[in-house]
Amino acid sequence: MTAPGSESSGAGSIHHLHANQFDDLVPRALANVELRGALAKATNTIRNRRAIALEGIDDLQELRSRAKAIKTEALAHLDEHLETFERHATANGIKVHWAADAETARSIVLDIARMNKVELAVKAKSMVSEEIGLNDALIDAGVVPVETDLGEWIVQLAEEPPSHILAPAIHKRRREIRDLLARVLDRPMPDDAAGLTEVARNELRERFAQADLGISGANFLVAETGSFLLIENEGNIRLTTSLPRIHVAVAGIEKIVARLEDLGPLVRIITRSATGQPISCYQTLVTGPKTSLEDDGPEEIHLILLDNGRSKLLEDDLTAETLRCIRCSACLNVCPVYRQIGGHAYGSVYPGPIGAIFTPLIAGMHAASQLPGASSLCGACREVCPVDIDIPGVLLHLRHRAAEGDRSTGDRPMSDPRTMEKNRAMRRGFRLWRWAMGSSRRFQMFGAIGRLLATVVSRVPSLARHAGPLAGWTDGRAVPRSPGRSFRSGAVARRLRLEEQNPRR
Amino acid sequence: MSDDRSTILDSIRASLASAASSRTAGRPHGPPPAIAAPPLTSEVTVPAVHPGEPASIRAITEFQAALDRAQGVCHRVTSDAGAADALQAVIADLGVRRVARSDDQLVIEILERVIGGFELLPPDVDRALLLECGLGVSRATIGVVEYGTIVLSSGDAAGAEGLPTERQRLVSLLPETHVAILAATDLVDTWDAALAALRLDSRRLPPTATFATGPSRTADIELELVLGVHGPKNQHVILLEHR
Repeated sequence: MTAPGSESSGAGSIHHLHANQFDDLVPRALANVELRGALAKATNTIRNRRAIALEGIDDLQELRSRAKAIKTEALAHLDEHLETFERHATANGIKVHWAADAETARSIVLDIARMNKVELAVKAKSMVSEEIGLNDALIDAGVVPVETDLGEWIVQLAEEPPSHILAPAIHKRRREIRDLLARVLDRPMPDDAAGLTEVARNELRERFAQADLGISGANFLVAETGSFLLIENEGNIRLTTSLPRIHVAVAGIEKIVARLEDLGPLVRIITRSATGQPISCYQTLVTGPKTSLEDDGPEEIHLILLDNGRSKLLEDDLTAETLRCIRCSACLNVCPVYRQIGGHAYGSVYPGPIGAIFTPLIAGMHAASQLPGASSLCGACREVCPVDIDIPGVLLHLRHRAAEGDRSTGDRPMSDPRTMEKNRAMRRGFRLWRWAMGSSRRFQMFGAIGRLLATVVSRVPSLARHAGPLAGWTDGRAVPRSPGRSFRSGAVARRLRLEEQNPRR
Repeated sequence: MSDDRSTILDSIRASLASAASSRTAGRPHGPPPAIAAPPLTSEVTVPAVHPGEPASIRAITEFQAALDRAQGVCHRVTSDAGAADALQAVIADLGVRRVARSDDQLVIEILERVIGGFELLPPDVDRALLLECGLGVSRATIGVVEYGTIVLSSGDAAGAEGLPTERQRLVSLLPETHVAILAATDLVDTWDAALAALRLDSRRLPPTATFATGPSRTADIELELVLGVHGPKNQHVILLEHR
């Protein structure tokens, strides 16, 4: 399943993208009471942990603006920093590759695997590798990719995509995971999280020992030293980058920072924003392959710099903000939409508010025109963003593009019949609204009709399903009880009117 | 692929140029974001504690408290003999049969004082044997007071002048328990200072440096914290206050 239409104007592509099914996926997610329960509990927990972790920082706003400035400055001179990074990394013995699109990135990895006769690859969690569909490509080439992050391993066994940038199995309950492991490993499983984690440790140990290739992402690339930083809690990244003979890291070009000391503020804010820990368990700074005197470590390190549409976002200061993202996922946990529908409903490997802007910007509006609508524009995402990305601003900008098309790129999402119909219905609705609001008589008349409908629907709830264009609203919610009479006819309104007529001095 | 290289760089330059020109001609999205570059020589506060200088009692107690919050254990000792006793006690408590070690000189000296009761594996031990090993002892290059973090760096530096660098990285990673030997003079106040010290002392960064805070952990199953996933389950630091 790929993005429909070769006409898609996004310069990049996202693997397994089916964001165009958003309208079908959402009701399914909303009907899944179990999922909504798990999500509410999980996102609340992380949200609170984050808030507590950030209380410990004396000057949070200063730290945020510093993190923002570091990323903004790096992006403003991205070309120079990438060249500097390449020069230093190469001098350190890292092989730097450039991939303009997902296909090139995949083929670079496959070439490395083929040349070294790799049969088994261990993988550390990497959003970019999901974006380019690396696992499917490896399988097609006869290489077995094994995810080693616990959550990622679970969703790989379940043959599902991750549903959260940071906690890929956040949508799964413990007993679901127990049953899954029991089925896949064909033996009884313990009930508790510690026992299940132990099973994963033992199962994956063997894979680490056998694999010839370790694949990871990278959190930050340091231009000045040609190093990259990997952040984690489990230790699977350390294993992935220590045990196999070859290490391949795939990183988006926006991961660059200019100086080594830029890592400090970013590390200080990323884990607090992500999981609410003061610091993650491990940060590993990789500067080169093992030296001849060392006993352990990879002999070869490859780093793939992936564009896949990112460089186009720099054309506009607003869309460029998206590239500041450090993938902490704080915006997911506070988003009233994500918290209800979860990650899978977005139909993109990048869900939540950041996914709703990143996905259409990379893959083109055609491929994801509904996602920018998946927001109430409450602004909670921007409020928690450690690098202050104007997510609501970009959402509005993209909604505008979805409605009007983008003349500069010729991307006309209006030609998608479904979006076209939706936009037409919306226009009709707002025209009617404007007319109804135009006089007090019409306003009163519409109020009366609304109260009548609410009364009827509250008696016969099944009628809500036939609410036409409003069904999208009524499906997941109870229709509010009718107040019986209008506010205007009540005592409060009468008093207010009197006060207006005889203002007290 | 050199072709992709110029494609990407050209695309970035074209985009940056077009953003710059639309910034001067009417602004479709309001004023551009302030590009406030952080000062080049950042005001990273010179750490109150430098590696190589005697650490204050405050630094030592704060390090211990921070490591404790991260579910690690800090053993404060005041002599090499005390360090050996602490190590012996950890090994005995856990009932470990096999111990792996790095080739760091201080690690060797302390292990020589340990009475025994276990099999000591040499640093270049076969990987299969290391996977079976219950405990690993290695040197922490730097300790970070604010988080209770230890820096594990691997490389080929002799360690005579600069920071200690050992040649093994699996000793601290594969066994279920990791014991790090840390000299109090290698304590610094902040994570940033540790990063700066890594470069300062060896001029070139080591091939790999891991900042480790407490035992490995996960919360991927219903957000329940579980200690010990792929990395060590127990993280001990023996802090040598006399060094």
